[in-house]
Amino acid sequence: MNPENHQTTTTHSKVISHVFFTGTAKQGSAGPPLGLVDIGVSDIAYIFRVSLPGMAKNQDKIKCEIQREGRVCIQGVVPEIAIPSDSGCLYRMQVQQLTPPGPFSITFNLPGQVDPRLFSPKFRPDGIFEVVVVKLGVRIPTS
Amino acid sequence: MSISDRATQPGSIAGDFPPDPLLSTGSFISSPTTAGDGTLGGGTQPPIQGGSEAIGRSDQVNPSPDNSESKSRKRSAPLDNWLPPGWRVEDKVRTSGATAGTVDKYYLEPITGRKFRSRTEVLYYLEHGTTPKKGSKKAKNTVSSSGHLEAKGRNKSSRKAKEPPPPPLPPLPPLKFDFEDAPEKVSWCMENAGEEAWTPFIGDGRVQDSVRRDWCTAFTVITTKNPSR
Repeated sequence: MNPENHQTTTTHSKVISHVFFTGTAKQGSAGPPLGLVDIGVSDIAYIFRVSLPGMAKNQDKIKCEIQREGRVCIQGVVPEIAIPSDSGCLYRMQVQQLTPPGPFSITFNLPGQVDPRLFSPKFRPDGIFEVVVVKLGVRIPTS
Repeated sequence: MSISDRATQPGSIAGDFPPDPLLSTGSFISSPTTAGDGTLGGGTQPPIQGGSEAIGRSDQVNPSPDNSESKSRKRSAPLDNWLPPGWRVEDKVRTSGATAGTVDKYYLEPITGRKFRSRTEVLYYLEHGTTPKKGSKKAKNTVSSSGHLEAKGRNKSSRKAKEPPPPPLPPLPPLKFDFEDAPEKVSWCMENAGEEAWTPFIGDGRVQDSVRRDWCTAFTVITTKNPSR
């Protein structure tokens, strides 16, 4: 599994492949840096975490559509390079491992049905989008 | 307490209580003590047994010290000892109409503040967690509600925005949230300005802020009140 992942990483970078990882970056599964998903479950709710590096909560409009069947669709736009190029010069990317600018969507299914109203999103400043959503049919305990 | 007094000193009834309109003076309803002595006791059990049995019965009338404490604090009638701790009793006097002056007694659920009009209703609620549905006979209510839920989950896509809102089955007066009526899809959009704020949309329509707050409250209540996380 690890060698394969390494291969895909190197094929992503078009020209120079001298990019190395240390620490957790090396241990983490290499893949698209945007859109890695964690899904967790409790008795009453699911949590999912999605990596959205490069997205800032006050600049980029993010939309998260959630269906009762448990389908989640996150849409957004990856912003352009932030450093102003007042000289108007354009850079041709030679290594491109980050997600290029432009619109994207990430779609996945939660393990079960949910109540789309009971949805608690949190966009962390480090670019991880965390959401807790309550399972369908969960009630407030009466006794 | 007053019952056991009456049982041990039947002679004091006339002095302490107003004459009962249904019982003529001199007659009295046989107390548990005498019944125990007469029917059960007769030869097989020593009279001491009968006495302890009577004590046991008066204990049943006063189930626990907690109850009697809360009872005296809430100034309810002594016969509400069956109420669980925390419940309150409210006496309301009708102020108008032909029946003005009549006192209605209500039992108040401690958490939701829900009102019940009779002991029967309270006991039903304690047992089933719901109130009997109007029209349908008791007991079937819980079954039908869960069946309703399953059916709803199954024919998901056939129900669109225009379904008639079913009556809220688990009665939660302070929380305006119909758990049965989950929409097919909600889109949450992060607002551009200032603090992180998410706005829900159903279809193209923005969900009202008040409704959104109810959702938020429901979420908080559900995630905090369910202990098994």
